[in-house]
Amino acid sequence: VTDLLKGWGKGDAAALDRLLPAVYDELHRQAQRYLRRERPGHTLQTTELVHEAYLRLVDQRQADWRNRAQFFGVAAQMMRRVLIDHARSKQAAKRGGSGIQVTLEDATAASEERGLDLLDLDQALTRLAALDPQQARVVELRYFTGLGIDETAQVIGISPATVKREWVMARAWLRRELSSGT
Amino acid sequence: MTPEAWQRVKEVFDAARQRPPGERASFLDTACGGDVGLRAGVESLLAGDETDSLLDTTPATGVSGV
Repeated sequence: VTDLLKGWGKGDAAALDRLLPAVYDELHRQAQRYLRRERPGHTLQTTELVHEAYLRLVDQRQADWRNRAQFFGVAAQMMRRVLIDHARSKQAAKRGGSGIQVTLEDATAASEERGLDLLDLDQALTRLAALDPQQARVVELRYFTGLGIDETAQVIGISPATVKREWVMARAWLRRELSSGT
Repeated sequence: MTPEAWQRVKEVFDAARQRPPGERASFLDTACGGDVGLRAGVESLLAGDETDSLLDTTPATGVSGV
């Protein structure tokens, strides 16, 4: 993965194509693994998950901060996908009554309590990306991997003040979108 | 909404947030002119802004009783 990050950094598009599934698989596997091992009631933040994936996948001796920023950029997208895929399969299991035991109580559990439907959020975020790709990236990084303002700024390559502005507006916009029920 | 209209809403929203709530209405009078759509867009964003805790917590993965 370290080599893929470097290759991608040098403009090798094929490296990104191989990087995405590798990161997705690792995040997915780790989510499952944690759930088998941990006691009921334990909560694992996605942030922790992404950091662990980074430590496992990237050779620390060869990586520099740029690789780290790249990794988080990719991981945010993949974490979003892992959570959305899971929310979908959970929904399908409910409808189909497939008898598959669903043990992954991810975002859906945490966000349902807060009245936030992850699938709705995902769709709204896709609409936002069409209007304002940078703002959607900020949400992806901050919400799906829990990066702070400064880290997010580093990954995207913009100032922390801009991240803050984008975040405030994205939140206000998403709130409006999600509450209007469209 | 077009990306251009979006940029306009974004600018006015940012500028309005810099002002104390009491001054926002008159600021919007000036900034939006007769653009009713722009003003409505900005106002609806401002309405949810202050109390907004949406997305404050990242999604968590937890374990249900197996």
